Order: sequence, then structure tokens, then C-alpha cells
Amino acid sequence: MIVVLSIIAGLSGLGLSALHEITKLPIEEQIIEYEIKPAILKLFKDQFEKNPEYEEDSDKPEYVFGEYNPVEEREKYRYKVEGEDTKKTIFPIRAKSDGKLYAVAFESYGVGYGGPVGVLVSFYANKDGLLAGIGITSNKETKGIGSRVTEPAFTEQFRDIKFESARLDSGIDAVAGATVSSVAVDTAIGNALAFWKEHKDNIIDLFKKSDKEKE
Amino acid sequence: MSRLVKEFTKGLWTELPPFKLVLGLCPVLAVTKTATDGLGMGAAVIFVLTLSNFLISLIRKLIPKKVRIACFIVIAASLVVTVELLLQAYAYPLSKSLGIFVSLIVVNCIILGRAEAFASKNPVHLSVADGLGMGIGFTMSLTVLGALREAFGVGTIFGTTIFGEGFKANPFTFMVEAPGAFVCLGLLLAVMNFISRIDWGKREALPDGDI
Repeated sequence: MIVVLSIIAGLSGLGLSALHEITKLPIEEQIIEYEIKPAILKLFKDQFEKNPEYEEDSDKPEYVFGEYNPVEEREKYRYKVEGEDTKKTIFPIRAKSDGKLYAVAFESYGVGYGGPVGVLVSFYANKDGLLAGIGITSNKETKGIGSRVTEPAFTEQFRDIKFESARLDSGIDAVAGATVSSVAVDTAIGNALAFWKEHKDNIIDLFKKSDKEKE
Repeated sequence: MSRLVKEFTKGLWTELPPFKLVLGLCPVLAVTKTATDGLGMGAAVIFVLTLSNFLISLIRKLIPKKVRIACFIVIAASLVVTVELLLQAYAYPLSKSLGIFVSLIVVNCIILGRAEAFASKNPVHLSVADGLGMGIGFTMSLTVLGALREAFGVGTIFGTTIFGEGFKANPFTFMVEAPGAFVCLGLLLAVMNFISRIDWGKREALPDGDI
């Protein structure tokens, strides 16, 4: 009895872990396509072209990336942190005027009510100590309650503010009734700030180098 | 052969899961806001139901009676996680709009019900026919309900405008909200019961209260 059940459970586990490996890459691509791309476009409207095919109610985005394709270019901008196994994918945002690095964005996570909450945190390349803004990416927060942290009323608070005032206890208002989700976002931002302070120079170097190679 | 056809077609009308057996109502009410969502959810259920019926019927003689439910759940759960991963990898927007209801297929009473009542007692080919039939019946019901709700609630079917722009600008939004699902389901049930009651030239009328 126990043996049969164990075998069935073991086989299922084996099959699922294999499938997990297979679907890892496609899922990552889909998340960039449907979560990260819109978040970047929304944050840095000024730096992107208006989509000529955009109409109200259509599912086409209001702004388009042009030549920059975050899905394909993600491989180029993986930042390896020493002593860690995984690489962090950094997304560059280039200035519309001269094509130079304008800002960078990367995902950071905090644990919310329904699992991890992804937060795309972005920083200006040339302005020290300033947060460019955030966008909420993948999350499973309760619809209508925790999901309110994805709304502009909450996320717009983080636009162009100093690091010191980007935390819940110093200037940011949490969403009433969604404390857990708000704290999850706050944790993610805390992690991102720590990461940025430590690796800022290296990350910017990485992009400057690849820009030079292009020229 | 006729048995095979019978097991397949019973899920399409006589034992149509949501309407005749009134089983699996949670996703029926929750994900039928649009026809596309209904169809997607139905496809996920077809996949899980057919494969779980197949696997369970295949190993039905090996499963000890005392832990059969646990075994069924493990198999169904694995298949559901498979569907979830595949949806995320290849149909991300759909997986987002279906949300938690894909994971909830595990505890969908149709899956367990068919495993317990049919697949664990019948040979493989019949079980697959049963799963396919039930799954397709379920999908049809979800799609019809989704299409109806979308038509009146948003003014489109599968995203195509049907009643013209005037209706689309000011639709009957009650239909895409939760109470609308109950009302729509109730009306559909009434229609189906009415159709079942019609005496299709059989002469003998059904005695009252025999439904």
C-alpha cells in the first residue's frame, strides 16, 4: 500500500521536475514579454516611440521598444554576482535623444500573501541616490485586495524619489487593507536598493563596455 | 464498439457534467467571463481528465483499495501542474486570466468523480472515451456559457464585436459579474431541461416529476 503510493508520488515528482526544467526558458521569455516589457514602457514613456497602431481598447501597447528587444537581449545583460549561482538579468533603458544608457531596471522579489511578488525597480544611470520608479510584475495577490499594489495610486509614489524616502516607514503610504502585499513590495525595494548600492558601478560598466563594442 | 461510442457520447448530452450532473460548478461560474477563457479552461480540463482517466485505468489493478483516493489525487495534481507550466510557457495571457482556477482542477469533482466512478472500474479504451466525452461536454458548456455572458456583458464573442459599437459602448455588464453567472447558468439549465422534456415524437409523455 505504502509502496504503491510512494512509487506513484515519486514518478510524478520526477516527471514534473523534468517538465519544470523544460519550461523554464519559455516561461522566462513570456514573463519578460507580458510583465516586464509593459512595466518598462509605462515607467519610461518619454524614452520610447509612440506606437502608430495604438488605439484605445486594443491590446497593442501605447509605446513601442523599437530596435531594443528585451527578450532576445536579456542574455547579453546577465549580471553575475560573485558567490551566487544565479545571474541577475538587468534591463537597460537608453535615452531617446542620444542612445546612451539612461536607466537600468531589474526584478526583485518580496513574499506576499500569495507567493512571491515581483517588482521591477529602476534606477537612473547618471543620477545618484534617485529611484526612477517601480512596476509590479508577476504576482498572485488576491484580486481586488492585495492586487491594489499594482495600481498607479501605489506605484507612482516611487517615481523620482530619494532612496531614503522610498521605504514604508519613511514617506511611502501602504495600501490600506493590503499590508502584507505592501510590505512584500517594500521588502523587494529594500533588496533592490541594497543590491544597487553594492553593484551599481559594475552594472553600469557592463553596459558601457557593450556600448563601446557596438561602436 | 457501440459501448465505446456510448461512453463517449454520454458526456455530450445525457450526462453533460455542468448541466445534467451539475458537477464542477466552481470553474463554470468563475471563468466564463469570456468565451476564450471558457474554451481555454475546457481544454485544460479535457487534457487532465483524459490523461487521468487513462493513467488511473491503466494502473487500476495495482492501486490498493485503501489509498485509491490519494493515488487519484497525486495523478490529477501532477497533470494539473503540467497544464499550469505549459500554459505559463506558451499561453501566458490565458494562464493569467484563468488564474487560480487551473490549479483548482485538482479538486474539481469531475476529475475525481470520473476516476472513482468509471476509470477505476473499466478498461483503458472505455475510460479514455469517457474522459474525452466528459471533457468535451464540459468544454462545450463552458464555451457556450462564456460566449453568452461575453455577448451580453461586453458585446463581443471571442473578441469580435457582434451587436455593433453602440451596444459595446454601453453593454449589459451585469452578465460578466458573478451574479450574472448564476442567472445565466440557471436560464441555460432551464432551457436544457425544457429540451429534454420535449417529447420528440416518442408518443409517451414523461410522467410529471420524473426529471
